[in-house]
Amino acid sequence: MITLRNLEKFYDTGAGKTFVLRNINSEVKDGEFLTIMGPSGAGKSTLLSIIGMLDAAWQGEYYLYDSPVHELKSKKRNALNKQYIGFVFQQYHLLDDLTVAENLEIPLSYRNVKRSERQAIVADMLDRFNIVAKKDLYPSQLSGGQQQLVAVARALVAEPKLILADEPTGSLHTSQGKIIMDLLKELNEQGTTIIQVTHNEAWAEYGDRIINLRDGWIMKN
Amino acid sequence: MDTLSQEFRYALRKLVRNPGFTAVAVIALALGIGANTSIFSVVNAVLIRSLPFDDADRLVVLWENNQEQGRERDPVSPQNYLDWRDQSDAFEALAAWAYWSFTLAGVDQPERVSTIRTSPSLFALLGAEAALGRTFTAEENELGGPNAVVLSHGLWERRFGSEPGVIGSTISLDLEPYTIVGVMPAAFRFPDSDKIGMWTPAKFSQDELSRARRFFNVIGRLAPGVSLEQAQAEMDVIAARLGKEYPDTNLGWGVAMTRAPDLLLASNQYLLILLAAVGLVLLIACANVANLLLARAADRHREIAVRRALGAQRFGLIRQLLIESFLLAGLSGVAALVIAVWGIDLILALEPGNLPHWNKVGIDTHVLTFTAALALLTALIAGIVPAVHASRPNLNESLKEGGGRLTAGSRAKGARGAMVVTQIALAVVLLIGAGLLIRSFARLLDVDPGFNPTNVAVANIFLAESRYPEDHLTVAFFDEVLDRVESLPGVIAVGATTTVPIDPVGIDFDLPFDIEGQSPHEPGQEPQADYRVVTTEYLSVMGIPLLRGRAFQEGDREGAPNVMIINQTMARRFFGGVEPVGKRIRIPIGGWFEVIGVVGDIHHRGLDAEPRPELYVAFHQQPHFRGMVVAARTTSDPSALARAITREVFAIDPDQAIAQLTTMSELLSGSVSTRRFNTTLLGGFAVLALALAVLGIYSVVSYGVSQRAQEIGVRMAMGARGDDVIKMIVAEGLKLAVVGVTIGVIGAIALTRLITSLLYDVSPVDPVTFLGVSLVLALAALVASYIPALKATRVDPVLALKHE
Repeated sequence: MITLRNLEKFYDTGAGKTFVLRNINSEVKDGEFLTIMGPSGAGKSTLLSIIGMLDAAWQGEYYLYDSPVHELKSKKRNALNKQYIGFVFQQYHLLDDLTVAENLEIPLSYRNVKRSERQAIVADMLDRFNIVAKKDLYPSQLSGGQQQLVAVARALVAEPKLILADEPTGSLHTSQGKIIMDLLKELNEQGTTIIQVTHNEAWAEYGDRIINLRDGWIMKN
Repeated sequence: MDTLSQEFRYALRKLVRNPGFTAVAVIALALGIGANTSIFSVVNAVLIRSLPFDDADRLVVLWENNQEQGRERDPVSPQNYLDWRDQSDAFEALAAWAYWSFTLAGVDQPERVSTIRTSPSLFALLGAEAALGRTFTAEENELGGPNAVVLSHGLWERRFGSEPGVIGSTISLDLEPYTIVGVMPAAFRFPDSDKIGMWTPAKFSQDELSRARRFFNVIGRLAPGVSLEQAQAEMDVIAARLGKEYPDTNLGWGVAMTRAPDLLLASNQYLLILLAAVGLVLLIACANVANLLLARAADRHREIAVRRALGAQRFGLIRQLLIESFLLAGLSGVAALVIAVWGIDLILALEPGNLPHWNKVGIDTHVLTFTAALALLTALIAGIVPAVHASRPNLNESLKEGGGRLTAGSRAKGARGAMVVTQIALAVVLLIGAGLLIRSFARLLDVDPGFNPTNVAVANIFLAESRYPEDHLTVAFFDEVLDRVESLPGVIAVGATTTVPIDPVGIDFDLPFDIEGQSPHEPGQEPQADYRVVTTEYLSVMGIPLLRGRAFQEGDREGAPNVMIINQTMARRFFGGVEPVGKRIRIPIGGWFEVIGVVGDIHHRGLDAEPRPELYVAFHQQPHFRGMVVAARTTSDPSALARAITREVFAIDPDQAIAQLTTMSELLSGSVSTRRFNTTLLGGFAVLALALAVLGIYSVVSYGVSQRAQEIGVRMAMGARGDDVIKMIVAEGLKLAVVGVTIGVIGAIALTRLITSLLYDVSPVDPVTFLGVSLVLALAALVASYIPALKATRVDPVLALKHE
C-alpha cells in the first residue's frame, strides 16, 4: 500500500541542515496495523504528516498504491488524501462550533457527497458508534473519551483505506484509551490499514509491527 | 448550492457564537457604510438626480466673457442671445432665462412668487412637457402678446388646490392679468430649485434689448454629433463678428461655455471631497475589521488545519471565510441603513443652506444599490487578506499537541501591524483635512463684516409697476413704510436700500463711472463700482462707519445737488492719495454726483469675498427702483418684528406681498452654512476615524499582550519591573503610530491641495495643523497602548509559565 524510499526532511538553518527524518525506507501493506514509536523529537509525527500529505516539504520517494506522491502537485495529493486517508489526532481536533453530527458530515461535504447521502451515512455512523443521543451536542459538552470516539467516527465516515492516528489515546484515561484502541483494532480486523504513533508500550502491542525512530533514523523495523 | 447553504449556516452560527467579535465588527463597518450612505444620499440628490433631462450630456450653459476686464462668466444680453440663436448651427436649440418674481394677488393673501422669465424654447430644449395644458407659444413671447403663465406643480397644489380647471383662468401677477396655460409635472425643476413657482415668457422689452444690459442666463442643447469644442469654435466666430458690428458694447466680449453636468459637478465639488473623506473612514473601518479577522484567524488556525486535513481545498476554505465576511458586511449594511436614516437627519439638521435639491435627500433605489454594493466591496476589502492568510496554515505544526495555542507567527503579526499603520495614516489625512477646515472656518468667523448684523430685521418688498408707475408713488410708499416701522415698539432706527449685504435677493449691479479731473475712459473700458440706492438712515442702521465727510441728510432730495458716498476701497483704488470728498463722479444713472463722504468697506458678497468699490446714492434723489429692502434695528430679537412689518405693509397696500422676511444675523449665518456644513461633517468623520484608529492600536497591542503572556511571565520571573513591561508594550504601539503618522503626513501634503478651494486664509500645508494632528495621534496611540500595557503588568508569572 505504502512504499517510502530514501525519504528525508530537513530544515535549512543557515548554519547548515538540521535533519528531522533521514533515509527512511519502509513499506506498509494493505490491512496492516503499524505502530511508530520513539522519544520526543524523533520525527514520529512528522513521518505521519508526510504519509498523510499534510506536509509537502520533503525529499525522496513515496508511493501510495501506484501513485508516486512525490511527483504529484498539491491538488492531486489533496485528491489522493481525500480518497484514501482518515485522521485521528491526540487532541481530537473536533470543530468546536459544529455539533457531533455536523463534525461527522464535514469530510463528506468536502468529498461532494449529496446531502441526502451524507445524512444517511452520518446516521449510520452515529448508530455504529452508539452516539445517536449525542448527535446534537457540541464537542465542549462531551468527555475526552467521547470526543475521541467522535473523532474516530469522523476519520471513518468517508470510508478511508488508511487511518493515521497520532497518539489517539494520549489525552485519555487508560480505560477510555482501551476503548479507542479496541475500536481501532476492530476496524483493522475489518480491513482498514492503521498507522499509529504512540509512546505507550501497551497500546503499541495492538499493532502487527513496530517502527522505532530516533533522531530521524529508523532504528528498528 | 447545497454546500454553500451549509457553509452559510455554519458561518452564521460562528458569528452568533462570538457575539463580542460580531458586534464590534458590525458596529465598525455599519458606522463606515452608514456614513458613506448618508453622504451618498446627498450626492445622489444633488449631483445624480438633479439633471433629470434626456441626454443631459448635450446640455450646455453659455456666458459672455471679457478677458481684458477679467470677467470670466457674465450673464448674456438678450440681443446677443437672439443673434447667437439666429446665427449658430451648433445648437439644436438655445434658451434665455432670468430669475424674476411676481406678486400673486387675488388668491388668499398676496405672495411674492419666484418666477423664471424664459424664452419658449426652454421646455422643448429640456425635453419637458406640461402635465396639464401646454407651455408657451411664440406669440406669447412677443412684446404686446397675450400674458401667459405656466405653474409649477407645487404652486398649483398649494395655491390652487390641484384644481385641473385652472387652465385658461386668469390670475393677477403684479396686478396684471395673466392666463394660466399649463402646469408642469411634479418632477420638473428648472433651474434646480423647488422655490420656483412659475414660468413666464421672457418678452424682452426695448430697454432690455440694449446689448450693454447683460442679465440673462443662456442654456443650449448641442446638435447631435456636435462637440463642445466645435460649438465653442463657432461661437467664437459669432462673438468676433458681433464685436466688429457693435464695438461700443461687444468689443472684447466672447462666449464661455461648459456642459451642464460639469458645471453642476464643479459647483458642488465639496460633496465629492466629503464622499472621498467618508470613503477613507470606511477604509479605516475595513482595516479595523480585517485586523479583527486576522486575530481571529490566528485563533482559528487549528480549525482551519483540521478542515484541511479532512480534505478541504484551499479555495473552499477561502470561500468559507469570505462567506463570514459577507455575512458581517450584510448585517453591517442593514445596520448602516438605520445609521444612514439618522445620519441624513443629522445632515439636514446642519442646514447646508444653498445646496440644491435639499429636500430630495433621502433613501431611494440608487442609495440602496449603493449601500448593497458598498457592503459587498467592504466584505471583500476586509475579508480577503485574512481569508487568504488563514487558508495557508502550517498543518504539521497546527495539529501537534498544544498547536491550538501557537502564536500566529511573524507573517500575521506583520499583516496586523500594516493594517494599523494604514488606519493611522488614513486618520492623519482626515484629521489634517478637518483641522485645516476648522482653522479656515475660525478665521472666517473672525472677519469683520464691516457692518453690525445684530438685531437687524430685513424685509424685501417689490412693488408692481402697474400700481406704482411713477417714482413719486414709490417714494410715498416706502416713506410711509419707514414711518410706520419706525414707530413700532422696539425699533431704534429704520432705513432702506436696493440690496443689503450678504443677501442674494435684491437689486445688485455695478455701473461704469468717470471721475472729474481724471482722463475719461474709452466706452466699455470704464472702471466699475457696485451701485446702491439708500435712504438717509440706512448706513447708520447697518452700522457702516462714516470715515470722512458727512452722511446723507433729509435735505438730499430731488432738486438739491446730487450727492454720493463711496466706500474705502473705491477711495483708495481710484483717488490714490487725493481726498475724494468734494470731487465729482459721473454714472449712467443720474449723471454727475458730488462725493460727500467715505464709509468703511463691507463684505457684501460674503465674509470670504474681498470688498469691491461701492457707491451709495440717496433714495430721494434716485427713486428709480421699485424693489427695496427695509432694514430695521431693534432693541431685542428682530425676528419678532416680522409679523408687525407685514401688517404695516398690508395696511398701506393690501395687495402688496413681502418677498422675504429675515434678519441680518440669519443671512450672515446662512452665508457660511456651506463652510459650516463641510467643516462639521469632515470634523465628525475625522473624530470617527480617530476613534477607529485608536481602537485599531488598542486591539493590536492588546492581542499582542495576550499572545505574549508567557514571554511577559518569563521576563517578570527574570526580574522585569512593571515599568519595564509598560515601556516595552507602549513602545510597540508608538512604533506603529510613528510609522502611520509619517505616512499620513506625507499623504496629507499630497492630498490637502485638493481642498484648497475650501480653505480661507490657511495654507494647505499649515504647519500648526500638521504638528497638532501628529501630536494628537501620538497621544492617542500612547493611551491606546498604555491600557493593555497596564494589564500586562498584572500577568502572574507562575500562571503564565504553567500556561504552556
